[in-house]
Amino acid sequence: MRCRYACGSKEHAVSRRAFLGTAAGGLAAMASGVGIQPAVAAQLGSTQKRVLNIFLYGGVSQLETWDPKPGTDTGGPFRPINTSVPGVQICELLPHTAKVMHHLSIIRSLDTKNGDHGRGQVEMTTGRTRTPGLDYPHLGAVAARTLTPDNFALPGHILITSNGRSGPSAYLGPKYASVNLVDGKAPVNSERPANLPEATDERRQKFRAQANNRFAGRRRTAETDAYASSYDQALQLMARREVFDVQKESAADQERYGKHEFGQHCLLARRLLENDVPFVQVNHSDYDTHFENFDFHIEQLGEFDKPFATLVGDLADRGLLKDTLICVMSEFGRTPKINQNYGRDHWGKAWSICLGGAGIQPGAVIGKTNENGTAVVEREVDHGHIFHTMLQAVGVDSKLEFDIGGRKFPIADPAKGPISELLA
Amino acid sequence: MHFVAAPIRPVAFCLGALLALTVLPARAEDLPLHERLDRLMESAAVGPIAPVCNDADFVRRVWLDLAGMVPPASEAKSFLEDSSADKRRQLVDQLLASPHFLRHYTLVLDVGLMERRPDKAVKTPEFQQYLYDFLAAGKPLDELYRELITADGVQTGPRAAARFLLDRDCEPNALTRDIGRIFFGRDLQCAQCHDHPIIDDYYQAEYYGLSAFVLRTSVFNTKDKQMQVAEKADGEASFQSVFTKTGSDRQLPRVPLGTTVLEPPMEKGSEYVVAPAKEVRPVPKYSRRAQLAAVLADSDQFRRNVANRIWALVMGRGLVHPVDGHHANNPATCPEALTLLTQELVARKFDLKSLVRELVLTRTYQRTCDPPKPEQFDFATLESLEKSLTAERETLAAAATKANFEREELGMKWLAATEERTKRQAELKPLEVAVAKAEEAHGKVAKALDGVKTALAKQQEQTAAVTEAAAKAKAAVEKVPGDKVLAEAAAKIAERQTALEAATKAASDKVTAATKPVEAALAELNTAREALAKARAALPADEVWLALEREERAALRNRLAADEAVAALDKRLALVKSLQEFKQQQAANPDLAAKSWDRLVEEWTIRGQVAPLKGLSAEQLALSLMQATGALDPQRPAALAAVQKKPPEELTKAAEAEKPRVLERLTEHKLLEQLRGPINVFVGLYADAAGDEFQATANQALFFGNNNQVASWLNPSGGNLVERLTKTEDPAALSEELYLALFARRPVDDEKAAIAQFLAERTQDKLAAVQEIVWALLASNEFRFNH
Repeated sequence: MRCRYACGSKEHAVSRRAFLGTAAGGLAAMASGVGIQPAVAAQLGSTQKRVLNIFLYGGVSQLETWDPKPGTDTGGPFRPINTSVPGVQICELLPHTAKVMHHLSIIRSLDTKNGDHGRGQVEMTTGRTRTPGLDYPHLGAVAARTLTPDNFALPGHILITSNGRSGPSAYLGPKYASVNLVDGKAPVNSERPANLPEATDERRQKFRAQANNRFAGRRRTAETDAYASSYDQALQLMARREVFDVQKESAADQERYGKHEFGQHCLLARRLLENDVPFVQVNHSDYDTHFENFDFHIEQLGEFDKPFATLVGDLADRGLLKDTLICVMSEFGRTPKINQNYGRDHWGKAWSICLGGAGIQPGAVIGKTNENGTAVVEREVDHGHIFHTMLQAVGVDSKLEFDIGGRKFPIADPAKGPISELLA
Repeated sequence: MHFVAAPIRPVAFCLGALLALTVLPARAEDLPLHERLDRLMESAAVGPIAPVCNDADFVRRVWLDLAGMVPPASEAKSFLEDSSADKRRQLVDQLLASPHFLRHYTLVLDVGLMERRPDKAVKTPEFQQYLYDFLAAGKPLDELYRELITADGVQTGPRAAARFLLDRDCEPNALTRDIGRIFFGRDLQCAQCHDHPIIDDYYQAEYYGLSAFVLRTSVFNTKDKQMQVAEKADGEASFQSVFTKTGSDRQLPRVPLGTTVLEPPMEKGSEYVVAPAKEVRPVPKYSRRAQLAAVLADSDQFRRNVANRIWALVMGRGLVHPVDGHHANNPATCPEALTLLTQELVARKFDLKSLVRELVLTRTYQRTCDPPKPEQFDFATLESLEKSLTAERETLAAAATKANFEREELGMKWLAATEERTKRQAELKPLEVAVAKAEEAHGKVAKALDGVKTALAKQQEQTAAVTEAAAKAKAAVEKVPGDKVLAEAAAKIAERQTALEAATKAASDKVTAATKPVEAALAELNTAREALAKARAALPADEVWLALEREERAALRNRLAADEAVAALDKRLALVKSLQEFKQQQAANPDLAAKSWDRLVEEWTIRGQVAPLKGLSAEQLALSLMQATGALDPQRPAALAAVQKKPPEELTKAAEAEKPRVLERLTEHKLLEQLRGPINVFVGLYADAAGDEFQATANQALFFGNNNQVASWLNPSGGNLVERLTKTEDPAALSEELYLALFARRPVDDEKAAIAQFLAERTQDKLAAVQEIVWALLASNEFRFNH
């Protein structure tokens, strides 16, 4: 009664080989130590891939952004406007974004079957439907693990936030948990204290290194190397602390992005991406518009639109966009039905996200909702497909598995796959 | 047991082993457990076996592993200076008897059971207090697992024990997965939706068999928002494979690789001690969770898992690794050692301390972490080793084929019996339906009969009343003759009487008519019931089916063991090949050979031939830093004072002779409470969710270098390490004190020289210089790892 079949999905085949491999295979796996799996490492090209994820907390309305439905019972008061992509229209609340639309694409057919904030936030950022008893790593942790080059001085997974929520790394471990730039400030403990002169630090670090060299004469492992080099990484990070200082950007750029929090955070994101940080997430709140949906969207998107479009434009102008994946996501969308308080409620049945940059077809529109946006009628996808697509877009084979201390974890939901027609 | 050509070992060790052999009893069973384990491990070794470590490594290692921190400098020094031959054993016994062991294993068990989940229903301090008391009472380990399963947070067991269930929200899939992993060492997650595609022996039925024990369990919230564990008397595990669409409507409870737990029939309406209702916590008469607890200690897989996890706690890695990855294709590095340890676990009644003691006394535990050198190994032995292993493989493979075949056969037999049983049970279905139908038909006519009977009674009552009135009216007419009105009334009443009598007769006829179908229906019902009873009696007895299942399960375990033996041997053969390849590379490509050798060293580490470098856990690191810097010293008297200030009953009521020990135990626990703050800071930064994967992050290094936490321990005060060192004039003495405090060893000459030179350049700011040196060594690999 042995198992005579398999999922049919590739990762089972892959891991079966790895699994049944002889000790030689085991040795090869061991050689990689605590670092990146060889299979994953081999995928890394010479050009640094990066991911920028903009998370609009509360659930942005798809009707007031990427999938307007003018002149219908659900459409609301705003008009659609033309974009730089002929035939593609978005809501008039995003005039600047409309001008950079040829760098971006829209997916209008998400059905994530969920209207809960906590769950939506977890599922959209982990690409998995929440399973009791199992936590999955955040996209940032996965990106950091797969995209961070060896000896990279900066953290691989950065979250720019005003509320301090962290991107969990689950089984990938603390190395890949988000480093939070709370209110856009540099990471905690990254500043050398005033009573610790640099010369003192240098002397003690040198003495530490000497002690380590002596101990290496006894025994040296991947773990001792990792521990020793974590101090060097910390020093490198401290040396490059100005990377986190948005004040170092020009006054003109400060002006272009806007002095408000989100503008400054977008500018900081540009600074980090320019320094090859593999994953940056910027949070923007608060889109939970049960009341006065339209007024709130004027206000929130008014803040979002210009810095976002400026960032897209700058990345394109500086030649970074071809290696930088951009995503604008939310927990879910909002109900087509307008409630009695001129609000829209939680809605995961038919909504949209925006993707662009590295590996993504520019100017595409994937999927379709019906006339008044109450159902997906073409190319239904969910968080699982998005997660695969994003990883594939930056060159990570999302069908592979992580090997964590002998345990195998599929990188993305094995039951799903990428939206291949969106991939460039 | 099989013997292989013994590889050449370093000379020093060989002599020691020979000496040991001469004084030991001849029969293997009479040898101490640690010696028996070592012999099994050594006979399974391929390549060099490292000698036991020096005293310095040992004292630091055993303190970290049994007391959870580095030894105080004074203890390290006196151990190094102790010349008694038995000093290692003495130290082990002393540590095992100390409350240090209770504190350390409290933390270790907490991480193993709760895997650093955030607090929910039961807070970590309460759970740790529970574990501490459990360990202090010296209760058997299987009891702990039973308590975790049965505790309901209100009636049964200590409330804190319910953390295992409650803090997983009693979610059946979360519980199934974690009980599978933590109790049985089998991560069945994949088998939730289909038989595991990679691991041959992880079946979906196994997942749902385990799930059947817990799926009736849920969280009950009291009015004042306390979480408690509730259980219902119904709810069945059913599943269908997403691939094959096969499955079961009713998977009965069964532990992994164990037999089905059949349930006593429960009469409808009396399934509960406390029946479910609004705002009431249901308690069933028959608890499936209690059943799981009852069969736990008899489960081979449970025992094997517990034995392997204890091995992993002591050695840093399970014989089976990962500890939740038990299956035939993931063999134990030495299956015989795991089997022996499992047997001893049962023989010693799950006594954790006794097993830990034997394990730290093994040579396997005490080996040095210094890697062996190629010249210490005689490569000429490989050829004969390969030959004997190849021959042995043939025998084992034949045995595995046989075991597979036997199991396949029994499996088919059991499957056929199960199908037959299901079929026969299905055959009862029409009979059950017939009984239900007959019951319904009988009910219907009986109800009709009841109706006409009621009507008749009513008629009879009316008739009786009117008959009585007619007689009275007749008597009145006779008494008042000539009263026309009266006579008319009497005649009318008499007329009514006649009519009523006729109606009564009609009703009576109806009753007679309705009685017949009832009798017929009853007869039919009885026939149907008899048929069902007969068919039920004709079913094969449960015991027969269960006996067959037991046989099949035993054959399955046998098959897994046989497959494991082959897989384990293949790993040894592969290692022989790697060694041969190394030998070839050594001549052709020395650089490549050096790398190969490093990989071989890692493989020997896994196989217990060389000691591992174990990264300190977050808790060990925090406590060791405090111990080494002297930050811990003032904490202990403070804890003692706190206990004495408010002595708990446990202390006041203790017998006079017991009081010092009780006080010591309470003080150690108070100390843990006091240190929770700094410990949690380190847990937040250094701990992994699963608790066993070593990770070094820049965040940790930033914290270690720039945060005030570590810096504060380096400020001179109250005779702490930095203060003592600063006051020490002689650099050599200073070095010695420093190295004993941090590494439990004396510095070598060149280390002393480095410190002397460092200090010589800094006569003006000696304090700062001392702080720099102490920080540097605390941040070094030698401190971060247990070696």
